[in-house]
Amino acid sequence: MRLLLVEDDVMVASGIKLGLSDAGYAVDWVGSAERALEVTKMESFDLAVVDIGLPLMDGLALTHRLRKEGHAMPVLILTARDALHDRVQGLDMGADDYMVKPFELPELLARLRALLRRSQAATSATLTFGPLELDTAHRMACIRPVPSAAGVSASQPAATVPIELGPREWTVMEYLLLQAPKPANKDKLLQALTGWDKEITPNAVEVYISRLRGKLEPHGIALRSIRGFGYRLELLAPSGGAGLVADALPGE
Amino acid sequence: MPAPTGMTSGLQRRLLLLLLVPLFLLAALNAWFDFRSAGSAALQQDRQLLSLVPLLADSVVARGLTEGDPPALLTAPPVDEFLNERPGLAAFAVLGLDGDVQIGERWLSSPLPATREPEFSSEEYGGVTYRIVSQRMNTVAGELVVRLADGSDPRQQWLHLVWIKVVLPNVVLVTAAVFGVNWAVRRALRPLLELKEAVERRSPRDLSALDPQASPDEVRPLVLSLNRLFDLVNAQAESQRRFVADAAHQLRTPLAALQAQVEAWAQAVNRGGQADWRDRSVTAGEAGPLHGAAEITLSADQINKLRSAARRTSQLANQLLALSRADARSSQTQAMQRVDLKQLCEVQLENHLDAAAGKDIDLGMDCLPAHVCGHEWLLRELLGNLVDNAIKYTPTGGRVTLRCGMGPTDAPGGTQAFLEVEDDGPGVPEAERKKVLERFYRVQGAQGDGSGLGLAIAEEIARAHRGNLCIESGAAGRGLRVALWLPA
Repeated sequence: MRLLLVEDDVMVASGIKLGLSDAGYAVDWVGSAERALEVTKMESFDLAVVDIGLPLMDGLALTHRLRKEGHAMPVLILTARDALHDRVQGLDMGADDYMVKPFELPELLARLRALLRRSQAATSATLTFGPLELDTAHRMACIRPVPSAAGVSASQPAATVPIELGPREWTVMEYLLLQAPKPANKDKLLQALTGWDKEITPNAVEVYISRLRGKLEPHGIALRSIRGFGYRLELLAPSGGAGLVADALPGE
Repeated sequence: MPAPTGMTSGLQRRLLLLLLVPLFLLAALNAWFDFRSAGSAALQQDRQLLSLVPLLADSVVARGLTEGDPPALLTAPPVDEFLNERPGLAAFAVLGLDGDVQIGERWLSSPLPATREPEFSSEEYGGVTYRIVSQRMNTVAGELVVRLADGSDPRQQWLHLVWIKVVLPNVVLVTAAVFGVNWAVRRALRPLLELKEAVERRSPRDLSALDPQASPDEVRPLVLSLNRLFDLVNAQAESQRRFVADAAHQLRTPLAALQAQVEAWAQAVNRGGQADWRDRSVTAGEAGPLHGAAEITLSADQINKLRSAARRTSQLANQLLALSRADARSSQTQAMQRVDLKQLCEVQLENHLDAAAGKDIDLGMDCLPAHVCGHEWLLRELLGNLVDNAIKYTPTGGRVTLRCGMGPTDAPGGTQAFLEVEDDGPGVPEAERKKVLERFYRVQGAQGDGSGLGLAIAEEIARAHRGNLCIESGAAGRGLRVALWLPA
């Protein structure tokens, strides 16, 4: 994944670059909107992180220009301002999300993942969450173990395990994956399912969820119930403990 | 309200005193004059009696036929008239020098005058007080004592009537005057009282100008002075608020830099371990402005501590900014819009899921559709602070619930929207519930690293929305429930 970071504050930029590189992203950093426009003409990026308060052309104007020039990559705006006006304006200008500085790195990573997932879903037919992969074109689901430091040893071949899903389970799975790492709203899940059954009950959703749990948990993926809201896909720690893995590595 | 009444009652009392004391004096003077006029009436009666005495003496027209017989009497017309005018209340007597009554009423036989001068006396007979004049007179029947008694004494009559004729009207007049003056004074002072109440009713934060047109001319300069003072205090408060907002805002830029760095280090050490981190620190040194600086090695623990300090400082700057923005006057400048409380809860739930999962807290919601008119970002800040607090203070394995919906108001038929966060943590003792709303106040012995601003912000935001912040125990008396009630 290649990210463009547009930020004029050296300290902030180096911190973000360090954090994102460490999380496995390739980061190109430029200090002005003008440079960013030059760079995007030559290279292509999967995502742009843009500070709103840039010298000369500001981050909102840059976003607007990028969209006008036909760049479809997700743009996440960084802003020290927090007035509602700016947020709305940012989204109107074509930004996909915003974060108020100062921010916590895990939250930035979570938002980047969500943005990347969404843009992936729009451009490719494959949805992933950790080791789980959903090929929406061929309606096939499988577990593709991610090579990580703590996980699979070199002696074990990284075998792909297919997962059998019924049509309604598939709908639920797809919806959950589209939302991840955000939680999926149970009401909306119900709506997604009504295409299959006119009279689907919340209890029926429970049934599909518990079936999916049975299929995912052996592979380190949990389906947490969020009381009063819905469900969320989470990665269990590889050791099998209760601990939650905060960051899923982005696919490279 | 005992204290404030003193302000006007002093004035009221003085006015009443100044008006009523002269009135009492006038009434007393009036009574005295009435007494005086009664005295002059008595004098007139004495004169009349005196003028009749010689006529009565002249009425003795002949000696008695024999020695011992009373002399013949032919009353003179004025005397007759006098007696007829006062039937039963007038009497006369003609006495011999030895003191026995020769003609007339026998009861008029009292001591004889020693001289030839007329003598006046008062005597009671048959329940009537008579004014009596006696004089020795030479008559055709020799020297006799003539006596006239007038029971229609105006002084006596007046004394009987004095209560009705003088005291009662005066009392009635004075009583009426007391009420009248009291009413008038109150009425005259009413604008002043209203002004006092208007000043008294306003909250300490309300420093808007008073309407000078509502006050009487005499008080208007005072109102204008007050308004000038309000303006001054306002300007000062506003500049202070702006200073805090600017300072907090400016702080966030260097804080963002600090935090971005520390967050990256923390992520690196937490992921890769310390050996790995040493390699990376070289990269960081080259990329950052610390170019050429001596390298130091920090342990994972130190870096995590550094990160948590950076996060707390950032949060504090954010909260200070929110607090100064929530100030009633500054939030008035932005228009309110329709806010979906349920959606607000969903967003905050999502934002806090990771923090809750980290402490194995069951974060959930129980929301019914509810909309209010408000400032969305302030309400979001409020709810965020409440959820943050709940997760911070609830022990591992606890339960935090977000709620919203509509509920009945105190007024019958009315409904209000509510936004609520409940936890099953240690709660706040009843005695401290007021204090937790104070800025920077932290419950004694509480765990967690809060700044003590979360609830102060919530209170400020509630005020900006004319809402009501309730702090109570959670279900079954455990934990804490903080609810914001908003006019729907």
